[in-house]
Amino acid sequence: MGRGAGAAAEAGDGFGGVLRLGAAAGLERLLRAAIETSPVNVTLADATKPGRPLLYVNPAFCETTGYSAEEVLGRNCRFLQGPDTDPEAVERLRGALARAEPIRITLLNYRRDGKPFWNELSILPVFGTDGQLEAFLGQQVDVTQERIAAERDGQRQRVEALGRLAGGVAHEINNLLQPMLALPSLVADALPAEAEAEREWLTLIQDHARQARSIVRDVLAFSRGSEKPAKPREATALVTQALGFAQGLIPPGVSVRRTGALASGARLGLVAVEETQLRQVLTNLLLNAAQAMGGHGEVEVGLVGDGDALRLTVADNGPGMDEAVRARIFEPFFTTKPPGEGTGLGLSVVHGLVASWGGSAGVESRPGQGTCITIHVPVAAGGPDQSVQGVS
Amino acid sequence: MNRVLVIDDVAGVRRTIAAILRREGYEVIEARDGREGLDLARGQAPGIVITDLLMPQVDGIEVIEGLRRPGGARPKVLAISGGGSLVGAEEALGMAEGLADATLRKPFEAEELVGAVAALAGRP
Ligand SMILES: Cc1cc2nc3c(=O)[nH]c(=O)nc-3n(C[C@H](O)[C@H](O)[C@H](O)COP(=O)(O)O)c2cc1C
Ligand SMILES: Nc1ncnc2c1ncn2[C@@H]1O[C@H](COP(=O)(O)OP(=O)(O)OP(=O)(O)O)[C@@H](O)[C@H]1O
Ligand SMILES: [Mg+2]
Repeated sequence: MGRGAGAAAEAGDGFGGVLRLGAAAGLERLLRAAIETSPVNVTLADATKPGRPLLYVNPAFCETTGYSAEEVLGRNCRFLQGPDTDPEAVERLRGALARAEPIRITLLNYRRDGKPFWNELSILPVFGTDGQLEAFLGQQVDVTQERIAAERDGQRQRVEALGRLAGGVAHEINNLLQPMLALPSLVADALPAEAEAEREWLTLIQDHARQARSIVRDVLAFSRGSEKPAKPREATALVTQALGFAQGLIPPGVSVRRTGALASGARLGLVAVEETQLRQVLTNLLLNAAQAMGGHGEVEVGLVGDGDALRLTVADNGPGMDEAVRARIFEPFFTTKPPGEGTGLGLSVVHGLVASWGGSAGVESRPGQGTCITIHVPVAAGGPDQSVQGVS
Repeated sequence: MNRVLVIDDVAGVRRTIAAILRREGYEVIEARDGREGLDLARGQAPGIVITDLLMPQVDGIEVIEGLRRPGGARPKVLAISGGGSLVGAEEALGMAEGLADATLRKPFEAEELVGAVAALAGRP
């Protein structure tokens, strides 16, 4: 870049055009000041040297990336990339630079402290008056916030679309199930006393219709969440009640140990949670734990305060799970159980219901180390009930 | 109280309800949509009306409002729903609360229906 003075953009809008050097030398100082104070990251790389070393980075670049100019000058800008940077994006960059074409691309980069950010990167080739490629001008904008907002919007739209789809399907299926669910008992009554096998087949039809109804309800529960907000109730009593119900549905060989407020009776505050939904959540978790322990053992259920939320835990000392399973357990229809034993909806229902309470569900598990499902539920307006805290 | 009008746009649901109730000794008439239901309600004076809530054109809420108009015979109403693509069953049944005398979520078992209708009919 011998004549680095007074660059001027040739094409009107700056991007997609080509910079040519050599005009208006008096502007150099002003342009430099403009670049030094620009909120946009500005970088220049030497196109004539192998590895395209950085010639210049402006203060905005140092601020967003956390690197000082001394640390990065002379290096190729790829030091911003990391484990989750899309290799395809890097490939496209490499291609455009090799052909000396302008490119605009958004890719995941990493700050000096390792924190990732979404970088909207524009690169222009810079040609000298003789037409020789001299440099690349890079401009970078941190678009992480926009990306997160777009992601959240997209997710919300997907969830809403899924809810509508599930609702439509449920409506149709519910109507179709009606005769299968209600008529077998009429037919059974009309059968002669000795038609035992036939009576059994009718029971089979009705059982399957019941199961189908429950799957349809589960799918609705996680795709749509709760339909109306529940009125806040005292958490310890609520969980104790729902747990009592859920406990009745697990095999007798599995016992439940209560810890935290469930043992002491301490009141931790109000939660806006429908009891039937909490029963469903606890039933699914207890059943999973019971199944994991082969129908024998002890499940620990705990309830404690945790900042503005309550933490409900269900822990077992079953076989636990490996990372591949752990990563997918909240997915609808994900199951490791043989066909007929699990539909893989249990935890997606838990996830959907908990999310509809404004809470979150997580899992901690390792092979051979048991499993602990943790649910955070926000304390409802009214806050922790201080006056009766600690009463047992 | 012995004559029951069943309004549902799905034939299989209508016929299931009719089969169950006829066996219990009720006289059952069927309507395919809200408009036909209101016409039949006027002409046949049923003691009990069972209506689906989510139907095209005249929906179940409009049916109940039509039945409740002053001067009408004011039959007992059982609202049924399995939800739709935009509203869930609980939400739909919630809207009918206060308007209908009872609600039942679809799909239900024969015993549930018989119990709900018997209660409306004042049968022991
Ligand atoms: C001026 C300029 C600025 C660049 N800025 C970035 C950047 O901010 N983030 C990034 O990931 N890559 C950036 N690159 C691209 C990398 O330096 C490199 O060219 C790219 O990773 C493709 O080459 P490679 O496959 O050899 O790594 C920039 C390149 C140039 C020439
Ligand atoms: N406590 C646990 N210990 C070990 N693995 C578990 C535990 N809970 C869940 N899993 C794993 O997560 C998978 C998904 O669980 P989920 O409850 O969603 O479905 P499911 O139990 O397989 O079927 P369903 O609950 O519909 O009967 C299980 O198949 C199992 O592999
Ligand atoms: Mg399960």
